[in-house]
Amino acid sequence: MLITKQLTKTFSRQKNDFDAVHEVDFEINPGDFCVLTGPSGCGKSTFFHMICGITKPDSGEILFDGQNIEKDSAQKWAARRATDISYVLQGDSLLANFTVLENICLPHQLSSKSVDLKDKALEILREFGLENMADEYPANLSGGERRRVAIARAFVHDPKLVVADEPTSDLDEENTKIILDYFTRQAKNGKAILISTHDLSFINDEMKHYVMKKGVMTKV
Amino acid sequence: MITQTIALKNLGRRPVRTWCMIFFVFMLAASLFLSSVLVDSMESTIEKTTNRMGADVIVVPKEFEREMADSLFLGELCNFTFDKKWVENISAVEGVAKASPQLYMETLDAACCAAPVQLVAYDPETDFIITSWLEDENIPAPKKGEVIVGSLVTADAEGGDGILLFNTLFPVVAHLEKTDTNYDTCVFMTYETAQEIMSSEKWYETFREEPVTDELASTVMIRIENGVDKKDVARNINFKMDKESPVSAYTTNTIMSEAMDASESMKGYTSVLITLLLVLVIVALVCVFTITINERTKEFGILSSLGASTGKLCQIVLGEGFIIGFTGGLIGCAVSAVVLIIFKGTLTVLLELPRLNTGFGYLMMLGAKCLGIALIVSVLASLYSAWKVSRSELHTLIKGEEL
Ligand SMILES: Nc1ncnc2c1ncn2[C@@H]1O[C@H](COP(=O)(O)OP(=O)(O)OP(=O)(O)O)[C@@H](O)[C@H]1O
Ligand SMILES: [Mg+2]
Repeated sequence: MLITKQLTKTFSRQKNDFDAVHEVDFEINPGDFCVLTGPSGCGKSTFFHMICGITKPDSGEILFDGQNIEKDSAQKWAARRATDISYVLQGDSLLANFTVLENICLPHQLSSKSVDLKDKALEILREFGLENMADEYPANLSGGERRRVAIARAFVHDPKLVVADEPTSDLDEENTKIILDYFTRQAKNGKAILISTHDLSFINDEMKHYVMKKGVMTKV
Repeated sequence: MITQTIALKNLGRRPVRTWCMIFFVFMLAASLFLSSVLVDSMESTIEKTTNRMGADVIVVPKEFEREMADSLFLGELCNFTFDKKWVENISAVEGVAKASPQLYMETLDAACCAAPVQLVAYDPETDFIITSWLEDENIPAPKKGEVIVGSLVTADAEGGDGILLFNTLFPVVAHLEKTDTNYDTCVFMTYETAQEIMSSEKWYETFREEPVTDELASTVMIRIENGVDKKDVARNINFKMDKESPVSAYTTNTIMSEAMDASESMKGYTSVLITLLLVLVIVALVCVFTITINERTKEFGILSSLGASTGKLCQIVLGEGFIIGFTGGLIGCAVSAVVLIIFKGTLTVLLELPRLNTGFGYLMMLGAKCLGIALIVSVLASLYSAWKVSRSELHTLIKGEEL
């Protein structure tokens, strides 16, 4: 479904160029649950940003359902993020001034399609055990609850691929389990899931494990 | 619409900042509104008075042109006179088609009279001004002892339409239409009636003199022949008359020129003021919008990373500009209109204005214009922020960097 070929991103620091992501070949298909690990600063977020259209690659290709999309316009990428590819930002990414329900629905009301997903949002909140928090503001939620809201938000519009940058960092075992179980179930339902993590302990045989080091990705 | 709802919510989140921005726009709209009313009022009074008067050249006693202008434009009462015998000489001057004397008298704010009003006596045989008004309104010429009043003169004597002048009740035979000039506060009569007033006991008691109206004129109104230049006629009159003649001739424009100059300089001042204010308000709004947007880059980044379109994000920012412009503009116009209507009297006295245009239709039109400008200014100020948001790369937005 999504394939990258020789994907490279070069940054410069103190006038020295370095490849944050170096010639990465990667493929993910419906039903895949891929986990990307690697030390801090190895280029995981940069790679995710490129395949979600947040950063433009310097060279290489991105194919989605057989089509080259690496040179698509910002509008096209935004529309794609509202439909096929869902991205969960690293860290806390809830909008502090909007309620849980608004957080989930707003991006789609503001997308070029302008759809109202309120019913779907309530349904997905129930699945995450957050149904009575729909009208709460993020500040009144625990870290684990906030993370679950962010994940729920990524699934609300039924995307084909969900990319989540460290969705389980700083979470206790119980919250980590809730989220991973949800991802596993969704993968079994035919979604493609790609997450990054520092925590190697939860990786099991159902997951495809990739490691990144200094911008170079290898499959384990 | 969802973008408007979010814009409102964003504004509501920072009430002090929002009200400050609304206040800027309010100031702009209110100044624009008030100064327009002042300038328009001045201009329209000058124009209406000139049209209503219908004379091309006016002859007044030497050095009384200022009083004449103040009487015409500001409605100040006047009673200057000169010897009427000069009227004949004036009529004989080349280029003069019609010349008719008018005599001005003022009543006093005493028990003798209803209120201080300007009395204007005219000579029906030569007159071409008042007679033409009467013809237009199908009013018969007043006979001896009868008066005709402007629309703002209240004839309030008991038992019938009459006006008390120097202890004598004069029947009011007609009310003229409203003209929005100072003629609305005048009482018109023929020279014969004027003589009656001047011969009254009360007049003698007041002024200790018994004038003969046939020897007196305050002005001579002149209609020139077709194809002649007004200025030439005025110059001819001044040139042909004896050195010791007590009068000088002016074109209507010259008489009005002081008022016109005043209105021009008022226009100048207000346009400078409004321009300054415009720049100031735009700069202030741009600053505040920039701060507000910089605070929210991360929010825009998050929304965009989840698929929100840049166009919609810009709509939110522009929506905020629109709401501020609309609220500020509306309040500005409404408050100014109310102030104008309530303090109309005080303002005219304070600003030495003849009158203020406070017609509903006019105020509505002007309000719409000012509201439009307020909206444009405010949306323009937010446009800069919207442009910045639309132009920035998503990864800088996500990091929450300053734009
Ligand atoms: N805009 C940028 N300009 C220059 N260098 C950058 C930029 N963004 C990232 N980098 C560098 O690129 C490298 C990869 O960064 P990236 O954020 O992808 O790491 P990461 O693997 O996600 O780390 P972490 O696990 O801590 O999130 C780092 O060395 C980082 O300093
Ligand atoms: Mg990262």
